[in-house]
Amino acid sequence: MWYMNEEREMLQSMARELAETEVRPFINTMEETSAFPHEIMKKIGEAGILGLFLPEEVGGCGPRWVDLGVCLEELGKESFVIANAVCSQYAGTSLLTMLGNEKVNKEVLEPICRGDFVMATSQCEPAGQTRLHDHKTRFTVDPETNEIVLNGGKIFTTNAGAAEYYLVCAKTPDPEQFGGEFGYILVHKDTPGLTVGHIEHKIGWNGSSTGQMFYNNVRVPMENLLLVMDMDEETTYYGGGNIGALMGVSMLGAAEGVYEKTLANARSRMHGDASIFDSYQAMRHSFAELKMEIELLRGLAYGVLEGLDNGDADVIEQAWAVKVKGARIFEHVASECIVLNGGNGVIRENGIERYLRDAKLCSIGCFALPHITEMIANHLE
Amino acid sequence: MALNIAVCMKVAPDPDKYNQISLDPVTKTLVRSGIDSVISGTDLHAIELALQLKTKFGGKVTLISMGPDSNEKQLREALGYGCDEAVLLSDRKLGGADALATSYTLSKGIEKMGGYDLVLLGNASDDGSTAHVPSQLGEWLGLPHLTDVIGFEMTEEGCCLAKKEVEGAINTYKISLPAVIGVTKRLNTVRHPNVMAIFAAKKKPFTKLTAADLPDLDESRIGLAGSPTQAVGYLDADFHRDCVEITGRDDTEKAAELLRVVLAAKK
Ligand SMILES: Cc1cc2nc3c(=O)[nH]c(=O)nc-3n(C[C@H](O)[C@H](O)[C@@H](O)COP(=O)(O)OP(=O)(O)OC[C@H]3O[C@@H](n4cnc5c(N)ncnc54)[C@H](O)[C@@H]3O)c2cc1C
Ligand SMILES: Cc1cc2nc3c(=O)[nH]c(=O)nc-3n(C[C@H](O)[C@H](O)[C@H](O)COP(=O)(O)OP(=O)(O)OC[C@H]3O[C@@H](n4cnc5c(N)ncnc54)[C@H](O)[C@@H]3O)c2cc1C
Repeated sequence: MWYMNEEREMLQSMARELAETEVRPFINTMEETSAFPHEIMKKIGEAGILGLFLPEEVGGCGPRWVDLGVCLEELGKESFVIANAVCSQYAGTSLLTMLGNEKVNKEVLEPICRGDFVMATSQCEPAGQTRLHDHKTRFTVDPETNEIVLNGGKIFTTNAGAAEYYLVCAKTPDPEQFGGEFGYILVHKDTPGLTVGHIEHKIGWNGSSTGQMFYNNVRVPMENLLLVMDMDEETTYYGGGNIGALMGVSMLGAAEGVYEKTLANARSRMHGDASIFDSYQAMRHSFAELKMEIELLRGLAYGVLEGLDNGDADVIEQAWAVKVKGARIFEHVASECIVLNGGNGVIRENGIERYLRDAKLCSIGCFALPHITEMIANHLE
Repeated sequence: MALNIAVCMKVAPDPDKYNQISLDPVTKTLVRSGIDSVISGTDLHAIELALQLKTKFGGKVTLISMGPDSNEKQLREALGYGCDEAVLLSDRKLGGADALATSYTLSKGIEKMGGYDLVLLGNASDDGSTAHVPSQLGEWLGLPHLTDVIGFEMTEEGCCLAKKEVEGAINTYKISLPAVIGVTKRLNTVRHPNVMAIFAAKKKPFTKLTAADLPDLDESRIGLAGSPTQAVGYLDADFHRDCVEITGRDDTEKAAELLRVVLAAKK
């Protein structure tokens, strides 16, 4: 491939080995119990993969987008959930790395880089993810102690109950005084008043914990108010594309993963003296069609990642396109692969159908597709 | 007590692809075109031990491999685990070496690099698997050596304690350094390579030595000419199985027939 070189081949084989030896044996446990893969995140941290998006100050060497993409693709082949767990850490930390706050670097980002723990970004509320101005979570300041007092509730927080720290988006008491309508507040999991609510039973992404979070009179020092900003569609549009690209390259890996498993089955499943792959042209054409979709996504995804490596600001539309097309292609490939596996494709234990369940969630989790399309439409010139 | 450690690393065909390897009936050499080469599996455990010792005591880990120029790829890969430098002994004259010629050549490479406290090897390679090289290397270097090592630690006075399984018991040997140690896969669990080390690998020292670079090399001891063991014949294993149908009116008759067939075959 045009983006590969000797270093990336090494990264690829490292990530592949990690996926095969550490991730694969844990997939059944994740599927059955939805247990969060803390040990796997530790291994991924030790291997330095989280450092590919974190800066040197906290032990990383990032951002290195194509390098990270190569690793996510390999992890995604075994498990989209694991690749996405890495993406979710990018989502949370990308706000924090901008701060250059030494305490946050030491206490939060360095351990995340090592894979010691994960963080969560707690933003979505019942009013609707995109209806930020209708969100109810807000904070006040205790005039005596100068502490932040946080009150409210969130839904669909990824890593609810699994995270060490929650980055909570809350309305400021006075946008003029604070310099913005929303504040991001860092809350440690053991802070009194923080409660993990119901953990959702989702169609897929088993092993990723999504749930309600309650913040009742949660008190944290003023220094935990890390960032204040006004948020609107512009901040989302220009701030969210990178995560879209990372999720997209993970979807590429997952689509390849289910494709490769299905192809191997078609080559070894015999109808009489010949495999179903050799017997039926309809099968071979189906594989060819899926392969083209996958390669289309590869071109788009790595083109964007290369653009990000080169500091190209024009890739924003394409970055969102990787998420949208990635979700659609992943879902299509996963769905077709079930068919190409015959009856075996729908049996849980065979590990094919989970790809479709994981794919479906890619249309919603971390920016729903109609929302992205709306944003792109609003930015058409 | 910083340790200067050498690890001998062989590059071998990928064990996952062994079913694609064939023997050339005329030349009696292995036909392995199109089959990826990888770091011989047991050597990763020697590398792991070296890196653990380096973390604990400080020092340096140098990889030494004899083989074609293409071995650079696997040596760089091993640097990606965190080793410090790599040496490749590569020369047409070294080709066709058996275990004895290999161990002799490796000993010359080690002499040339000089000053190692420990020389670690995989106990047996994934392909040839004679398990001769570690002890032979110890003899060439005139150093104490131990193979089949399943446990390893350093003592306070700078010796090492190495465990070896012997007929159901485990013997522990105290060995003074420098020493040559052949390790087994049971010794430890190999880490995954690391992103930072992979990026650093490109910049780490890599030295290629030819036969001419090796000190006082006795050319009659290297390569094919220096190899007393040579493959002169081979047999294809015959996995052919006969199928005999056992018939009879009921189970008793079938059992009697089965017994008759088995006893007849035994003769
Ligand atoms: C199928 C097959 C059969 C063979 N049979 C014989 C035979 O019967 N007798 C014989 O003398 N040779 C034989 N050879 C040749 C022999 O494998 C190699 O020529 C020799 O380089 C090393 O022997 P080994 O792989 O058995 O080493 P082993 O002694 O099994 O290897 C032990 C360790 O020595 C180190 N080491 C070995 N080779 C190298 C290297 N090139 N560079 C760096 N470190 C190294 C590694 O740490 C390795 O783990 C055979 C080869 C093959 C492929
Ligand atoms: C598994 C999972 C993990 C998640 N993780 C997190 C997390 O870690 N942190 C967090 O804060 N949130 C998280 N979310 C929330 C997620 O971002 C939202 O669910 C998603 O953005 C959709 O918002 P909603 O659920 O409020 O749906 P609704 O707002 O009810 O949307 C319903 C439909 O309307 C469309 N729509 C909504 N707004 C617009 C718009 N402006 N333009 C066009 N169409 C629109 C949506 O696309 C959707 O199709 C997660 C969700 C899931 C399912």
